[in-house]
This record gives sequence, C-alpha cells and structure tokens, in this order.
Amino acid sequence: MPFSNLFAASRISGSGMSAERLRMEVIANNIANANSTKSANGGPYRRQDVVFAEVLAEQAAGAKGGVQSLGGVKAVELVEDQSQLPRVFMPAHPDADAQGYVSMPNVHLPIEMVNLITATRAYEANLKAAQAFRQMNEQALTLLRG
Amino acid sequence: MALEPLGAIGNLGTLGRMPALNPQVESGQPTAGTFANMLNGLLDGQRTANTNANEAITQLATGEAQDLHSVSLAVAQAELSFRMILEMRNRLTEAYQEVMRMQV
Repeated sequence: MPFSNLFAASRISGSGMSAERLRMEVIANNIANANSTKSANGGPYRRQDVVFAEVLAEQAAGAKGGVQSLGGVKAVELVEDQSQLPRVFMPAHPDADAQGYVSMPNVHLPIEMVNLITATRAYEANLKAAQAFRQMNEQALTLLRG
Repeated sequence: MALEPLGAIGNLGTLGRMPALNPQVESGQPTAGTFANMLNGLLDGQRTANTNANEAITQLATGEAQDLHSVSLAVAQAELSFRMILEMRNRLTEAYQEVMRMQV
C-alpha cells in the first residue's frame, strides 16, 4: 500500500481517537454500575481504568531495514481500582452482611465526570491533529496548482 | 580574477554523466515504462484508499463499523489522494497542451 506512509499521521490520530473512545466506554460503564452490588467476579463492582501504551509499528519491508515507525496508541489492559469500598447500612438489601452493611462500588461520580471531560477533550485534541494534518496536505496540494 | 568563482560551473558538466539523470542514454534503450510505472503506482495507492473508504462506508451502512471516526478518516484519505492524482493530471495535461501550442 504505497499511500500508507503518506497518511501515517491520520492513522495515528485515528488510533488516539479509538483509545479515547474506549476510555469513554469504560467511564460510561463505571457510571452505569455506580450502584451495582454484584459483578462478574463476585462482590460489588469495582471502578475500572484503562491503560494505554505507545505503539511502534514495524515499517513496511524495504524501508531502511525495518526501522520502527510511529504507530499511535493502543489500550493494553483494563485495571480495577482496588481502593476501599464504601459500606452503607441497608439491612433489607440481599447483599447485606451480618451487621446489615452493604459494600457499594467505589465509583465516585465527580471523579468520573472529570475523567469524562478529560476523555472528551483528548478526543477533540486528536481530532484537531487529524484536521491539521489534512489542512497541511491540502496546502501542499496547492503547490501543484498553477 | 573577479570571474574566477564561476569556474566552478564547469563541474556541472559531469552531471550529464550521472547514471540517475539520463538512464536511457546510458543503457541505450528506452525507459518509457518508468513514468507509466510511477503513475500506476500513484493510481494504485488511490485505488487502495478508495477501496478502504468504500469498505468503511459499507461497514457503516451494515452496522459493522466499530467507530465513526475511522470511517471519516478513510473517506478523507480517499478524497485527499484523489485530489492529489487530479492535481497531477491537471498539471500533466497543462504541460501537454503547452507543448502542443509550441510554434514549429
């Protein structure tokens, strides 16, 4: 694919946008499960965080002996927040312990909201980078015009 | 004395012997294929970008698309590469017409 290197910047921005989109999903999942006392691995839901890593793509053969090129970002894992779970007194709740306390998820809405704004802004930044790249290309094309 | 620096221009004559600049003279056979190859390479790239954009749009229409921005990026890439081809074609046509208008 001869054009793949030409549009590397746009591919990198795309990977950034995909990553931020995943972060958005994780935050939405945290907010949705802010009151879930049951989860897949038993116990109450724990808030999740996404871990990103830089990607170095192997450049196509023939280009300076397989030199590493920039490949953007990718999400490597989802980690659970191991902070303490708040305990709420609800004796009637089916998940209540002997003392009548229920462990609630450690999701704090203000934190999630701030993360949400950060994810939105980071997405916007990637979008802006893609737009700037496109604009640069268009300006370069004007060289061909008489 | 004042013209002495211009003597360096004489070295430019060696440029004509550089194989990269006039391969057809060196090899003695026409290399008409190279320009066509280059154009074909560009067109291939455009075709790939176009196919990618088409696939992305199809995936969006069928609900298989993972995210909207990759579709938008694929379409933007196809548009940009197409416009590059278009500009080059315009430029080539212009050059051809320029030659045709030449007085003989």
